[in-house]
Amino acid sequence: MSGRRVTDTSEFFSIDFGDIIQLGQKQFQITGHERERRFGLDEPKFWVKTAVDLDTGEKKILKLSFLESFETTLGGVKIRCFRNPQKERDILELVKDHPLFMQGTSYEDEKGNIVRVLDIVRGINLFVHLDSIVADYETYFRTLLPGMLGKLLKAFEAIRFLHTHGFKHGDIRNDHLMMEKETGNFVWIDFDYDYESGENPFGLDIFGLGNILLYTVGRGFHTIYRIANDPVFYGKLIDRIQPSDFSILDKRRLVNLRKVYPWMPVMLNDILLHFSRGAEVYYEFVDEIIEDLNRCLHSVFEF
Amino acid sequence: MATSILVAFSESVSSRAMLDFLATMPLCREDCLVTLLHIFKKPSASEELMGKKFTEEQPTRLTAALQKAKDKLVESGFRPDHIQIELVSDPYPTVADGIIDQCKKRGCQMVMMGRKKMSKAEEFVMGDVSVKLVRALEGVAVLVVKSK
Repeated sequence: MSGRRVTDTSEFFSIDFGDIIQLGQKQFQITGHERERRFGLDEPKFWVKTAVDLDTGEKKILKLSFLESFETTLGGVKIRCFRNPQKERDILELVKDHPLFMQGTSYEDEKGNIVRVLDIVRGINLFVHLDSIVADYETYFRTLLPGMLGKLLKAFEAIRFLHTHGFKHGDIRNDHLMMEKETGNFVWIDFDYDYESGENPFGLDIFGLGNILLYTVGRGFHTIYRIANDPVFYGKLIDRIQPSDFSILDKRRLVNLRKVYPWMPVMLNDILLHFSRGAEVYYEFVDEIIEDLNRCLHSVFEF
Repeated sequence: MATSILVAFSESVSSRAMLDFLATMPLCREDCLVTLLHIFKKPSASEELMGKKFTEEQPTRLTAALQKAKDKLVESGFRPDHIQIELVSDPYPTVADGIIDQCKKRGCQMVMMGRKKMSKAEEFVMGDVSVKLVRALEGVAVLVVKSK
């Protein structure tokens, strides 16, 4: 395996298998590209390389500077999003040795591009983990969920740690939370996304946490499509749901899970309802979710 | 005893509606000390894209708008020596943080602001300054004028 020696990573598309990226004294040999596997996609992410540290032989992930910027619409609200390598570098420094965040070191190439050299988090993400559970829902709810919520609570505390230092995670999703094989911890990965947020700097992070909680409690999302097309599971639920039962930012996603599982504790469902279109009061800070979830864990699950 | 009113001002339509409301409010104008305040937020990336010229001209433009607002209040009977204009350029994380801090520093009895109509989704994502003021300020009246 032999390739070029690269000291300027600006043209990341052309950096390929066998090339050696030289960052000061450090050298990393490229072994491949990471892939985007969400939404049924399987496309290479050319700015994220798999590599080997030639000093230590360790496998690493190299994230190269990709200054992507785009506008997204959530619940009819336009939001400008962009990748911010500087933010990820700053967070990596902040969370050094923190067990609930991916670890890594940042370097600058000869053109000043920020390259993040990341340790691989061994394990599976929350999305895959929940998908792999075969127990029926009630068994899941009674036996597995309390432990999961306990771990989520710690992961939410970790996000609070970021927020209190003025940083957003920026892209809180169920595949950016890894269940680390060795420790069982939930570990946050990928913090380079950023967004413009007006008066509510952490609004989208809070929304992301709400989605993760909803996904975990419901063991997946209950969408209008599923409800309409699976009468065996949902019965006549379609006749009993209102727009106010759905997510404030995603009108297809059911938030009021008591409509599916009427036995679900009100206290837990009420936390979810803060993210519904029917909500009059929203969470503004992670602390508020943590407080409610903590209370719920102790009183509902006797955790 | 004079009543100290902090008027959070911007160039928005809702801010103008708020000013119209204040100008016609049945108040004892002689006893009101009004601060017309504009908070500069740390410019966002997209504001930076508006260009250096736009950013440099902002203070001049806002000072002129604040002066015009003062003239309007004087016309409606407020004493010119009881109206103060303030352009606060300390970089607050959010406008709400700036208003709250300035209100506390000045010991105001009332804060006034305009608010445009927002959807629930907008309120969730973008945040609502007026709600933050109500939550954070104690012993202070918060008057919110919603524009149509």
